[in-house]
Amino acid sequence: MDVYCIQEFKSIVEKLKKNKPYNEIEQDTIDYFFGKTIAEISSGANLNNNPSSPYIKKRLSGRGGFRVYYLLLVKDDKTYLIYIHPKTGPEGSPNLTETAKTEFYKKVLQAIESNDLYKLSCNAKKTELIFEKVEKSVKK
Amino acid sequence: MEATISEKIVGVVNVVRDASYYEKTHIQSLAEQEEIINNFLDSINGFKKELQRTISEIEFLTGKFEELTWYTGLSENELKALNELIASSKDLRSVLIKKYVSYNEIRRQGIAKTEIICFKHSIDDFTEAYKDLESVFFFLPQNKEFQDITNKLSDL
Repeated sequence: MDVYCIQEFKSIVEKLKKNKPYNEIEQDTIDYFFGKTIAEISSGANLNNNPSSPYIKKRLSGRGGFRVYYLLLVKDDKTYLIYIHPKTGPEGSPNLTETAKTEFYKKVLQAIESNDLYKLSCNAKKTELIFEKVEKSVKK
Repeated sequence: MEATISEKIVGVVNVVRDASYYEKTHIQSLAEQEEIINNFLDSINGFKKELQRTISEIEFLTGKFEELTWYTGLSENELKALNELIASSKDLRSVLIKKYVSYNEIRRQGIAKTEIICFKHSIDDFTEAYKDLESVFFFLPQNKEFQDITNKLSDL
């Protein structure tokens, strides 16, 4: 399974990982998404109620942890990480509003259509995320 | 008329004498003291266990609500049942929040602090889960922009 993300996801991870209460964000993301099949990450709330391209909100790190929003394109075996936020602490925020959910949904569609994406991988020790900008001319 | 110094001393003497008498006649054996402490600790453990049971139940429901969002093509009767489920969940949340507020004093005293915080987080997750359920089956399907995006993604 290939993992991609949009700019918003990259920015928030880079910001939060420097912040002590949230320095597990990178590790939690790696542990949940890497080395997994689409079926293994097809859980959480299916916001668009669509089994072939589910827009998912998942609770990471148990109670009071993070909420991660992502899109799966099942037939392409691809995951697109859209947004992540903590529930508690100084940067904690409540559930996204429907307007925000729609806005992020639109952003990921635009990013896929224009190839404005980062390909995600992790280092050999599986401790750090590596963001690699996708060449716009190269079709994913 | 203000008491004389002698009267004040006698007053203190009386307090000391009564205290001394009480303590002499209420000496608890070590076994009795241990029993009181053990009963106290058992009560705290019982409270924690009951709280943990409630947390597990709430988390089970939260997981079930998430699973429901994967069911597609629901009939009108099924949607009505979901609507009832959401209404009952709102009632349950009110009860749980009242319970949480009643635990504030216990928490302030440092008893079962971690468990009470976990309890609150589980209520928050539960609330989010039924709101998402409502959003997925009742609100987002009416959102034209959202549905257009879903259609475009299906065509990719």
